[in-house]
Amino acid sequence: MNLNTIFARKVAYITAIVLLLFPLFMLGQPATQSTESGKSSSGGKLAQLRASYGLSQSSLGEVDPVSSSLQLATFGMRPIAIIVLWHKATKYQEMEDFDNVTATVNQIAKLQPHFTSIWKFQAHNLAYNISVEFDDYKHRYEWVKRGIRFLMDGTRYNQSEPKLFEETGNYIGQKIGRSDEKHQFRSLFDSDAEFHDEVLQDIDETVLEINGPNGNPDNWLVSKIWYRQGEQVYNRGDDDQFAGVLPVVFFASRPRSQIYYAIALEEDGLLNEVSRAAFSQGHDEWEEFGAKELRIPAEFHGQFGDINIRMSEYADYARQADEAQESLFAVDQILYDDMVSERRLKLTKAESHALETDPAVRSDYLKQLAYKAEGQLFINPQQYIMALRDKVEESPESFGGEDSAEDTLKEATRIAERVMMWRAREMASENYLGLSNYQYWLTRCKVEQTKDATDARIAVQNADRLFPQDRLEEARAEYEQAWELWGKIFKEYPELEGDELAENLMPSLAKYVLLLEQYDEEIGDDFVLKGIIDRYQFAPELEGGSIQFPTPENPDGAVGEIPVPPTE
Amino acid sequence: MSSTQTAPSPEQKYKSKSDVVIETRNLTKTYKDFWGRSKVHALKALDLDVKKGEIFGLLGPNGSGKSTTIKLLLGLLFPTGGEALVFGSDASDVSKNERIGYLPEESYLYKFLNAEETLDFYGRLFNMSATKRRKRIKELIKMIDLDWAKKRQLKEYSKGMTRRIGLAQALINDPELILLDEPTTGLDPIGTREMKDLILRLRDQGKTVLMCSHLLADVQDVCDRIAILYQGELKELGRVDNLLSVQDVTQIQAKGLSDEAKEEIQEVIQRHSGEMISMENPTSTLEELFLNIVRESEERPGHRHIEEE
Amino acid sequence: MVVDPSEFIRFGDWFWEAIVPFLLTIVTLLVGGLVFWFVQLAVRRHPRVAVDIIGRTLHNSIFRDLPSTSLRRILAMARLAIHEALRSRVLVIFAIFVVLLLFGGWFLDVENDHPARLYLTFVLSSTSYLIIALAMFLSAFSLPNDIKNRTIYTITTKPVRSHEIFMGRVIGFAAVGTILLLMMGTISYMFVWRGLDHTHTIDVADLNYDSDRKEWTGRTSFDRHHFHDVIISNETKRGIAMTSKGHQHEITVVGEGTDVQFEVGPPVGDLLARVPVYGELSFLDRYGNQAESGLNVGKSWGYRTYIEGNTLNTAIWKFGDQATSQITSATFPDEKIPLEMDLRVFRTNRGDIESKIRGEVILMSTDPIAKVQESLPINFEATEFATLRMDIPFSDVKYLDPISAKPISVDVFNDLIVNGELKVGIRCKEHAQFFGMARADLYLRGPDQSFIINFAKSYVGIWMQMLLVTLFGVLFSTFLNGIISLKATLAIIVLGTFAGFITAIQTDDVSTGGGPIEALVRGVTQQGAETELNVSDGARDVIEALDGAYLWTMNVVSQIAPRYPEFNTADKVAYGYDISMDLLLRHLTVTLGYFMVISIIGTLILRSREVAA
Repeated sequence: MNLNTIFARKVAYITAIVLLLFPLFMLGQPATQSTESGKSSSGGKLAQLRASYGLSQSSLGEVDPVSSSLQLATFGMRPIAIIVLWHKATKYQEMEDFDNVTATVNQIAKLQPHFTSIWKFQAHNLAYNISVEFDDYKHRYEWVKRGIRFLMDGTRYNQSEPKLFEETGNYIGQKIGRSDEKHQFRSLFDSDAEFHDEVLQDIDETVLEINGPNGNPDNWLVSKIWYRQGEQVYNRGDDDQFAGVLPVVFFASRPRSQIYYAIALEEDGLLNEVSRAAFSQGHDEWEEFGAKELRIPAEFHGQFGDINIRMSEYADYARQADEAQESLFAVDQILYDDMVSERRLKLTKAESHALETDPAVRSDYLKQLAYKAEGQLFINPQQYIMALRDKVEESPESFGGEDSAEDTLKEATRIAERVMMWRAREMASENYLGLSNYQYWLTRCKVEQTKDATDARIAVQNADRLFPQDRLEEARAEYEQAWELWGKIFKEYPELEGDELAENLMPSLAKYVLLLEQYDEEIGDDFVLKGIIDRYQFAPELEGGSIQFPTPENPDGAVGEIPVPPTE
Repeated sequence: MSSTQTAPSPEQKYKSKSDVVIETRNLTKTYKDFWGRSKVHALKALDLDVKKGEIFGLLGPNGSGKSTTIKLLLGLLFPTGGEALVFGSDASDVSKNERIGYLPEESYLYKFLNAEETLDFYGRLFNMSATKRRKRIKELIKMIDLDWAKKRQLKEYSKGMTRRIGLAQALINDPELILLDEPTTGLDPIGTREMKDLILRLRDQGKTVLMCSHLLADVQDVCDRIAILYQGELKELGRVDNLLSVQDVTQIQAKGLSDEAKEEIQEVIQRHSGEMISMENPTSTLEELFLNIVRESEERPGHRHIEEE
Repeated sequence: MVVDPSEFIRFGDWFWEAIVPFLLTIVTLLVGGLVFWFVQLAVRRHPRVAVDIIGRTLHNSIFRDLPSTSLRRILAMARLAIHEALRSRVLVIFAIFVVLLLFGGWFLDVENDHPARLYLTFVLSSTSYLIIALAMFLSAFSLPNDIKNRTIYTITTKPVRSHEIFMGRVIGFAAVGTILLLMMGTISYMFVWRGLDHTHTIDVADLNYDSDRKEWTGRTSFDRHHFHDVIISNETKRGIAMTSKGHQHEITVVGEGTDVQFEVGPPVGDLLARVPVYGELSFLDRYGNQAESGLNVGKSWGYRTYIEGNTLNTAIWKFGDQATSQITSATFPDEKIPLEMDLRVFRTNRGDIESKIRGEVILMSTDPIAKVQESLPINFEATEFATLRMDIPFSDVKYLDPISAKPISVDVFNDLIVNGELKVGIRCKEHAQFFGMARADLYLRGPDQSFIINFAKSYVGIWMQMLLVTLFGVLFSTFLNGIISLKATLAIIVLGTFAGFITAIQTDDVSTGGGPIEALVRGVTQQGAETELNVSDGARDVIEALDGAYLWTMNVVSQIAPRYPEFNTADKVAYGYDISMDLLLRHLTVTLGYFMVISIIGTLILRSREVAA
């Protein structure tokens, strides 16, 4: 073999490599979009296929060299590497080696950056599970931040996954603003300028107000912009990608954040036009949410295909359904009456009796029976149409001839479909209203904007402050003024009695009870908030330190009860 | 040629036991498969003595057992039966290697070393001091005439050059016994000649040489004694000239004889009721001898009784 | 940092405890090997010949080959191995390492709380992975290659003894590994140092000046994902940037008045080698009686146990073993007790979120007739996941005088410490809250070791792992071909690494759905691991017998394999603890043991092997 043949071979190899690379290049050429020249290419065949299945990296989100090179470095052993890493992460967590947990989790995410469950699972792990392992709330806050950061990284890799954006908003809002350490967390967040830069770096800040009353970003308001990002992604994408999460849950987040923001302001002691304005905005946004067209997935109502509803039109849907139903039964009123009376005959004596009794005086048992009987008497559109069809076939003459009978049946079927459609909307919006607790929040916003509510809160605040200073008279006066105002509010909006708002009054009510004891008085049955006190019992106060050590001489005999922490 | 008689060795000094450098007794090697069943009988009950100062040739076609014999003698293989003694001790004894030089069939050397490094490495294995190594390497490289290429890696060497360096490494310790496995394969005629000369020179220096070859010419030219192996069995053993002379034929070749003298000789022959063909003592070629053995073995397989001395 | 209980055993104790099982193993191995060899030869040839050959081989090996060992030959073989290794481009490994470090920064979690730990773990683990892989490939292929290329013919026909060939190879590859390790270690150190080195700036406008205390407070600039809170005294002109990301900075004040400027020094405290003096941990239960251990608060990891607050539940560390490490005044050079602790906190109720859980340290005497049995408690607040340094000056150690009922200072060395022993008790003061601890969580801190030496010690650990891998690689390559001996070496690494797990499987401590056969049956018949295997009784017996035999074999092999993870001391370096000489000696002894045993086995195999077959 001389030099020439070696050289010739080399040339041949290189040529072959180039020739083989060419089709690979044609197939695998990535899609490009050039904004400058306005030209764009859909890329090679592989790129097109990827795009059509939504798998293309560039369509999923950021592609970064670290992730890609890590994936390459596993030489196709990625699944095994991932299993090993998961195993390691769990083990590190068990052994409380949290530095390594984060490091490992980051590697997993880099290996599977487009698998959203990992981002969600591990973010939760960091922000919720690991953070509570730390005793110092500042450390906890750091871990919550780590969870948030992790999610934000996830959104960068998965820019068409609204759920990740929503989750980020959720952590910034709920985890910081609603956990046990919310006061500490919120104030840490307030002064964490570096973190503000991080959470806002991908965000166009001018869209929404993010600053709280002291001019620093507020976690609730920041969470809103993340929710908003998620909504935009949601609106951009196709519907299928969002299977499994109800739009009503998704879209409630942002306006509710506004309400929580207002509540947080109140809790921070800001009881003035600022908090009222926040509630006012919350009210508007909540209404906007009510008026938003929401999709109901087919599996949720079991008919037609997906339908869109607005919760604010619930009453209208009910009315439309009732009207259509009326006109349906009006097609052949006689048939309807016959059906009802036929069913009435099938009722048991007790059921008939229950129905005949005046609803106002029915006993619980009778109520139950009556409810059952009503259900049996209720004729739904399908049943009516079936009966009508039978009648048309049996005696078309009663409709004035066969043609006319057919027409009647057709008309009735058409109306029945309308009934069902409106009914479905009615039911769905009812459901959504319940799921989002719509009415409660709306009322809450309304109430909190009133001067009564603000005054009541100020009074409670004052009283809570005065009581420990032994200024009992003043405290009592303030409390009683507050209770009167609250009583007024609850009378006007009884639906608030069963909720957080009322429950949050309990600590102050407990103090009030203690205050009354100083006067050897008790809460009377006519107390304006008696209903609330009955509803929420006093939490047992935890008394530490009043116990004596058990001693070697008296090993079992701790003096006094060993206190038990309150059970939730 | 049913049996071969060998003339007594002219050099009687080898008679004593200490003169025997290599001795094999009933040496047998059977290759077995994984389950321990015999597969190939590479060597069957070989009895050999190689004496000090002689060039002993093992001759036979490929697979006849000559390489196996050498490997058994070197301890590269272990006998299935019998024993192989070198310098009176068992072949598995490493210390004998101090006095042995071995040139394998092909030069199995480290291709990434150059000539000097190669020789230096083997020199170290003989625990030679640095000065001694340097001196010896210089001599050997001069001897094999590779001075011009001593800094080149062996992978760049031609076959003949590799062979020469192989020989040099075999001689690094100035051995008393040299085992050469097919010493001339791959060499050109000049190289072959040089190799043969070298072998003779070694013998002249008093070294014992055991070589094996399937090239008859090599053996014929240099060996004092040869053993012919075929299918693992010893077929012939003896001095080369003896093996090759046809004993019942006398060839007389003379110069300057008068006609009377010739007549006289003819008369003598007639008196002994012989027939004068031509007056010479012919030698058969080794090739003929060899083919004969092959033919015979095929007709009557089995061990051939060999009488030596 | 988690410390394995076995590490508390001192080298001497360990040695005498380990030597017997070691010798037993050796004897078993040798006898087993000889029996195997004998049977093999006896079947192939004849029992008499077998005895003869084995006897001669052993005799020659011990009485002829061993005495004629030549260092020059061994080194020649080693040089050859090095030459060979260099030729097969081992430097590529080094190149990979450099590339790894270049791009390593990408993979490291910049937000991590302890970047130093991360950097150190990264360099040490990547070094050991690469070196072990290298050792495996080099050692497993060299002898088989010699045999394949028949270069072995020219070697074994020289007066080289088998053990010289074996040791030459091992030493050669080890030398290559050593050189690579030295290079990698140097580069790693530079990488870590450069990766961690940084400074901050401080703008006087950002600080608050307290004119009463003549102090500035505030924070540094935000660099490298963190800032520090600072306190700078205008009197001493010095200040400190307090711990963040595991380090501090020293600050000096330059200039006066309005021109005042602050110079921030390099990071301090992230690369160190603390020398902990560990004690023996015991417990008192909530009534003050001796207890086996602390309480379990429901964590699955049983490393730490807990003590309940506001009870007599006490964790007591006893320092100063009479025989070896008595406490003398030299232990406390500055007249203070240098305690360091890392306690876990477990709250059963939220309590006051902003305040830490309070605890107390009580110094106790081990001698019942000492003047001071217990000091008055010294208070502290538990910092979790951050080591709490408590230097207790002798002047702070007081006890309650039984007569006057007044606190009186204690003469620590006369009244409290008897026979060089001291006990330190920890109690939690808050009701329904718990402290968690393990033996290594509280220690007396001796003077620091040099970090570089500690770093180097960790490399010695890697070096020993490499040597062990090489030994096994060369051992297997004496009788297996290249690929197979590579796999065998890998198997030994895997088995040694997971030995504990394998034993647990074999002894049914870990239920994993049986051995390989059962797993296969379950896989094919789609039966989950948690259900009873649904096959006939006969079949189950067969499966269990086969699996049992398999697992037994695995277990035995894993017991013989070196415990590679034990040699990994990266954690100690990363967490800033000195690798004790005891530990290093122990590892060296183990390595030496393996070196001797494997060299003997390898030599015998090489001797009894027909290289030309």
